[in-house]
Amino acid sequence: MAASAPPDPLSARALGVLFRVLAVVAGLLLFVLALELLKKGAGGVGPLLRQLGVSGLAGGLGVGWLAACVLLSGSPVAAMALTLLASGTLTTEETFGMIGGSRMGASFVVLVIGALDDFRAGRHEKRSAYIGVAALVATAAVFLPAMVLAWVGLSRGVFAGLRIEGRDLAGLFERLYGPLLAVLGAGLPPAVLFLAGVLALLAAFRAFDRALPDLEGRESPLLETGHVFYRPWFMFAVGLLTTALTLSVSVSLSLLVPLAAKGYVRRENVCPYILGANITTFVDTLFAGALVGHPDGLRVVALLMTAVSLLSLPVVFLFPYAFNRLVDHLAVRATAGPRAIVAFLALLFLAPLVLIAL
Amino acid sequence: MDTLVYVDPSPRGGWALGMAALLPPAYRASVRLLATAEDVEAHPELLDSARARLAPPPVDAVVLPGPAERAVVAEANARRYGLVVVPPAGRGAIARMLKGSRVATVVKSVRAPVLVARRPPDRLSRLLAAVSRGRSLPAVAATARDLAAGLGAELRFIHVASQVAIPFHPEGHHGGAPAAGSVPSSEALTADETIRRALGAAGLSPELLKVREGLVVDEVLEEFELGAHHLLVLGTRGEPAGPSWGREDVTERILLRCPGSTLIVPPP
Repeated sequence: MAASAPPDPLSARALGVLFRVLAVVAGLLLFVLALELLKKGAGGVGPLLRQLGVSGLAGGLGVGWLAACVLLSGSPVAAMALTLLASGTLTTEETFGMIGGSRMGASFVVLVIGALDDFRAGRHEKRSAYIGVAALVATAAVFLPAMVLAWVGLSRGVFAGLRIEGRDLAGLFERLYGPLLAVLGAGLPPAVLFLAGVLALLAAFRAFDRALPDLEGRESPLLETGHVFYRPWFMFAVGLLTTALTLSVSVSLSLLVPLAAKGYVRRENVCPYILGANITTFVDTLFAGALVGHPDGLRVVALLMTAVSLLSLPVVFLFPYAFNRLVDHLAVRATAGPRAIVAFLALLFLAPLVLIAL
Repeated sequence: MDTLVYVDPSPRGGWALGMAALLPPAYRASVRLLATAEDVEAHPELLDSARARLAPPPVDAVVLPGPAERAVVAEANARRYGLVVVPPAGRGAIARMLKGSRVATVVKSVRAPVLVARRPPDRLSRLLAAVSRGRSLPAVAATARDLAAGLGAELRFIHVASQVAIPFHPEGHHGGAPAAGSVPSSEALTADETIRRALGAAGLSPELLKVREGLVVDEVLEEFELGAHHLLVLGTRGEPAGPSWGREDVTERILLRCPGSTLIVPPP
């Protein structure tokens, strides 16, 4: 019996690269299709949002926060908000709130995974939930004041002339998806179109995810920590880069799990990583803002991204250790026992509900 | 054991002499004082008064051109000293950013243990050793043991687990494989088990170890202050494993923030 020839490592690697390139292209095409479906179906969501009492900045913030918790990711929610703005379903201030809220709920997935593990193992101290709580606290500490800053900028006309002309690109996508969207638009109710858009958006992010190398099975470029830790600016840059590549803060936070499992990431490194991730998580939202065709789409995202960057940089470069101590202290308190973690989870759901009810 | 003590005319120079005077006799068998030529020129009585404070053991002196860190590193590496005692320069954050830290420079450049002397207590009766499962663990355990025995002091060990807990991993897993050369080499052991075994191997009770969770620097310093300890013993990673950009030394951060005296022990 003839032994089968071992696979050529070069061609296996080439196939791997080709697969990743195809996954990126498929992700981009799905992303644009999702935006178009969401725009077409947005009319069906408007009445639902109004029935729920979603209006104004607080309502947008609450619904964005809740939706990110439910979808376990913030980026699709931010993209949805922009399509709702483009269709006239949401106002600029509601869109601003919804994008901001989506970032608050983005770290929920990490918290859920950790809390479930703690409850499963019957641990009194909710140690696995720590990273989710730390992510949420670090995000809130920078994001809430950043929203105030961005809101001031929005109301004073900052970036009023900011436009990215995407007419040629829009024409290309119109030719590509026009017939399909016309058929779907004629045959399906708007709410179903919107739902299809949400699913396409999630599929797009999954395709981007497939394009990334698997960190579980290989050596990390980071060094194992012992007597050394990574400097805050270094982990900030790692967070920036990782999230720019993964396009989702949820995915990049989830990447902390294998890195921490191998001892590359410690409590000292978590905060700057999260702060970096919170900036480049806007990259795909910027892209969506340029594509949806509303004059305020890109501006809202650019203002939020600028404000978050302006507040994150002093934290990382001037007082990273004090900020780390604060976040660690709060995260330890919030995960001190079953009651504390249940109270924290309840707060996480109650806060957006209260905002919607305002 | 040969001990090198750096002196200068500032009150901090007095701290170095005060700490050297508190050391057990084994550390004071042979003491050499070091001062910079600039300080001796400005304060001709400096070495004589320092010698008087450390008598009766035989004390000799050497004078080298400054700056202080260059003089200490040159002398410390010229002979095999068992201990180098140096006070902090007292630089503020901006001066430290521009000139660097004197004690951090000495610790990084000298192969011997370095005692960074801060305001000395009446006697050294409570010692705290901060340990991880790095290469310096056996050396830190042995040095802390010998020093505590020589002083008749109470000794405690602390290990800080700063790893992020991993969802859906076996209980007790804190992440991170043992560092190369750690004791013992079994990768299955958690850090605190490894350290307890190393303490046992050094003839110390594993019960002396306290494990805390949190940020390493903060937890070590909090334990130091809560226990009103007089001396903190720490390990250092020794030779850098490559370019240091992007990384910071935990020992250096503890050293710069510790309110009391700190003994830095290099790996063997």
